Amino acid sequence: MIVEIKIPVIGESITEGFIVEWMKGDGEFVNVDDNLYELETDKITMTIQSEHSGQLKIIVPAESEVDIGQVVASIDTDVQAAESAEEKVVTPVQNDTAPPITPSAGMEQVKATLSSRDGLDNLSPAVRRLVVEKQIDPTLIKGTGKGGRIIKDDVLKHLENISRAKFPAILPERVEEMPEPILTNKPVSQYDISDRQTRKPMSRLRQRLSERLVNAQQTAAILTTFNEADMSAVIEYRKKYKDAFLDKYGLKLGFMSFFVKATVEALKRVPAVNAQIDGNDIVYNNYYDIGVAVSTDSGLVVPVIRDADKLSFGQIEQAIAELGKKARERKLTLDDLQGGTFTISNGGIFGSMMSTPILNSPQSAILGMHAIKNRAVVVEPDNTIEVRPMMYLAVSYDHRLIDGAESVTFLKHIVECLENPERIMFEV
Amino acid sequence: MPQKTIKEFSVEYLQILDENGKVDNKLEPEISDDDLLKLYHYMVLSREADTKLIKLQRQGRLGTLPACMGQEASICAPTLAINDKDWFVGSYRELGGRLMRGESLVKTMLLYNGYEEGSYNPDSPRTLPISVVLASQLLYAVGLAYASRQRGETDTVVLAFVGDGATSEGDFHEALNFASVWKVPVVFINQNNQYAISTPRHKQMNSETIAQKAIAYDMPSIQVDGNDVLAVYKATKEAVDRARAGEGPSLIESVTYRMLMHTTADDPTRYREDAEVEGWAKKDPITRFKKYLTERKLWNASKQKKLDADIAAEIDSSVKEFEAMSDFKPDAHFDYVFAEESELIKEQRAEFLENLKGDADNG
Amino acid sequence: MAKMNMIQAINLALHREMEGDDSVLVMGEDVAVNGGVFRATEGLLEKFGDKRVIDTPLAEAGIVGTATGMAIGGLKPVTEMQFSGFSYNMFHQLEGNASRMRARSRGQFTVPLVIRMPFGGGVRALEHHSESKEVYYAHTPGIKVVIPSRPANAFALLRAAIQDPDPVIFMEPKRSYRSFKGDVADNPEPMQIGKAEIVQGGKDITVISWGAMFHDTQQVVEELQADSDISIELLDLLTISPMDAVTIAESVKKTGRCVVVQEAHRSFGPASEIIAHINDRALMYLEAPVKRVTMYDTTVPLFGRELLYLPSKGHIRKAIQETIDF
Repeated sequence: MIVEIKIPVIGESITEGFIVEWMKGDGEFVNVDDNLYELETDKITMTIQSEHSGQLKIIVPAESEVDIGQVVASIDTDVQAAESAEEKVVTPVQNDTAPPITPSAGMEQVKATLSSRDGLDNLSPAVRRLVVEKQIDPTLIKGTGKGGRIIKDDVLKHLENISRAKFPAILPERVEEMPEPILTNKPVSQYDISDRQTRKPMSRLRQRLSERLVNAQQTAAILTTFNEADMSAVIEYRKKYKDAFLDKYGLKLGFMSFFVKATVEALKRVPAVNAQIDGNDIVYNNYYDIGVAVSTDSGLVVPVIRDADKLSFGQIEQAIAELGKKARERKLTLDDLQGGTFTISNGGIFGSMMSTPILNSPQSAILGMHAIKNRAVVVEPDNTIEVRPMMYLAVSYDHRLIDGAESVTFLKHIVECLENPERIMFEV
Repeated sequence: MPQKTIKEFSVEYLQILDENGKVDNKLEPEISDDDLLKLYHYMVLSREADTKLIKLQRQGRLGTLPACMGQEASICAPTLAINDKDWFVGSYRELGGRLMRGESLVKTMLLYNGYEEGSYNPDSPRTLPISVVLASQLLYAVGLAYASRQRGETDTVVLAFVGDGATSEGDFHEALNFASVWKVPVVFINQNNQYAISTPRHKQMNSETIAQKAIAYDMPSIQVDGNDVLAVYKATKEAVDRARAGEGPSLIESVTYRMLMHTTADDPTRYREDAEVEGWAKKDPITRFKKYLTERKLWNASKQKKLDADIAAEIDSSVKEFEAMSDFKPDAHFDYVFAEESELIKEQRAEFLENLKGDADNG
Repeated sequence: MAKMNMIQAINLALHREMEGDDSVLVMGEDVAVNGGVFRATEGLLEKFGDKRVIDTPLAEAGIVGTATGMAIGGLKPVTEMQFSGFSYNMFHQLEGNASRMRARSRGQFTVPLVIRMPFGGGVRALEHHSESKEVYYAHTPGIKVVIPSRPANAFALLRAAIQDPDPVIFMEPKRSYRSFKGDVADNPEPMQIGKAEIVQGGKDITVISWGAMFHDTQQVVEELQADSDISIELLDLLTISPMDAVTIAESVKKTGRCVVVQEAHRSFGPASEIIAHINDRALMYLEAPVKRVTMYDTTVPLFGRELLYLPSKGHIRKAIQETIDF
């Protein structure tokens, strides 16, 4: 019988891989559990073992891109070991066979692996239960028990790491409670420069932030598109309604409400920007939870304004004021931080003219605001040169999901809304 | 240094009504006519019931049960000598006695059909269930006697039965010793029916009598003709009276014969000759008693006919009642492990009921 | 509140129960005039008279058999087996009648009986005086088996045993009779038979013991905690049967590791039963196999080498350490 060898289902988010090398040659006899090939994916590199014994026929050579489920080889199980001259290993008895270990392969495969006696049978029952319940691939867990065995604590720590990675940020108020990380990398230098350096452990928040940012950089295909907006109209409206607004809401009418409203209008027009990738699916969010990056003493946090499309300018300003206050007082909760569909960051507060913001994954795009500067611009229709308060705007986006045209259309609509705020009112 | 006899012992034997139904008037006990007729009634009922139970067992309608035929006098006469406030501590071959104590034949059949409900007899609150571990019942009989005195019951007596083979058990001797030391009101009735299943008395002991075993405990004892209802009654009555009077325990060896098998699972032809059984048949206690009653004008053929009919009807209706019983609570046995159900029993009961469901599903 | 040793606590419990209930009586070999060979029944004869404090003939079956009758007849006898090694002479009475009477008679007759017996080794005694065979009794349905470890729980549990409507075997660790004192409150909270006590909570490992071994175990636990940061949950089993499987399982679910320390022989001992319960209820919470520290499967040798055979603190420490390090 000819049995096909397919690239196994490795995990929800992995759709393709790369065959690094074949560990058995074409035509060679393989036994059950023999290492067949090394597969590299975005998440992990692993060795795939044979489920069958027989003669191997390689279809896809090494150093090839492959898709999950793709047939890469076949095994002729009718060929016996004796027929293959160089192979003298006796095929193991049936009882000792086990399905190949395919890390990150989901509940069924983890269970199957656990029920086999292969490789993982030194997991304690407590660890087995946890990895099955939580659908974790035990090979991804670093064991700290005797001889590197995985103990329950290791699983729990692993779980904690996963769940942290899923959340947009760490609660600022918990930062103080976090144990200081242990320093392991001493400066490598032939000169002693320690007295010319100050070494401080990175805060947990910053550690997480850096991990997440790097992760976003590595997983998404980030591109940035730029535009500029004439802020005259917005400034005019602010001046005009400043006092009335203050009277009514007890707050100054800021720029942010204009940007949030303009963003919502643009998102409605280009839904892909409000979408995100989940495995092989694209999830379109039909609601508008807009994250607003806030800088605090201990780092950046991004509280979320919920259902921004349903809020008035005043309500948006209130929400921002509240979240900002909570952030500074370190009173933000996980709920305040989770689940935004789009983020606005404002580098302009610090005077930035231009930047390329990094995605707040799993979101697919982010709007960067910058400083407003009076600049000489050519004003239509008469092509006169005038001094106008200008702001450069940047939208970074995940090109896997959003096309260039979509991103430009999106940003251009924001500019339109800022330059003609009445468009927000009329939703045109 | 003197050498002399410091104590001498003797063993008495009593027979009042001989094998031919001839009575020794000098020894005849005082029993009312009613009591005599009651005794006769239960002896006949016991025999008929015994016969019926064995038939039912042979038909597969009852489980293993012991046979009593031939021992009716030895069982019923002592029971007549005690009252409802006294304790009846049986072994397992006292059918007539239990019926006299108010246990119903239906309950007997329930027990031998494998349901403990047969040993629950609230109408007979001082009759202990059967005891299968030989002689072990004698010790709790002694304890019951102690308890009755300690609780202020000055005239309660305990009647306890034990077989001939069981006198080899340590419990027999411990019971006699404890009873004697404590001087408690127990009357031990030894059913010497000659066999412990297949083992004859002479292999069981080298003692000429069982009665003499009481001598070691300084306890009054007597050997009686166990198929002579008057002798058994008289000896028991005297022992009960002594016990009530605070004079302590007694042992009565009632020499009788098990006419049938030990239990329905036993084949007595393997270990005894027919001739021996036929010899004992001539000493039958009921035949003898009937002659006595007839001579005393207390009994006649028409009375016998009526009794036979009544007993047949009683047995018949009992069998019907017993066989109509159904719906025994399957998990009832979990109710009686402890007064208060432990956590483990609770779980096991649930498991049992779950398994039961599975069994039903499987069909 | 008074400080007393276990013998005094047992004696006090007997006094209290006999004062409170006329149906309670004490019987056994040398219990009356002599006050028991360990003096557990001292002073009872003088106070309650020879009808309620009975020097019996020397026959264990006789004692338990007659006590069974007394119990059926409405008394609450507390019998003493002089040593557990002699109790086997009454086993058929316990197994054949006392334990079964409730079931046999569908509850018509019950046996509220207590059988006290000193047990266990380490006291340089003669043959038959050193064994721990609680499982003989625990394997029998219808009887409860209780083993106290301290004066306070000896006091409370003996009272609970006397008040219990079913037969209770009350096994007294004689090594702990006089080796230490403890507080016994004047009117302590009653204790329930069938409950293990979590003497100390912890999160890394559950250590279970009872009787005299409980003390050695507790000392080892204290030492280990002083030397390291292991957090140990310590259980005193107290009732061997019916076993408190729920408390055991809940503890092991929490800690994932367990060591059982028993003075009994290894095979078929209570530890085996404890491990079976863990297997039934908490297997998938285990991080290491459950270890047992036990006497070997030999008779307890005469005291020349007795201590070499009984479980030691070193054994306990090693077992805990190995289970943690597994």
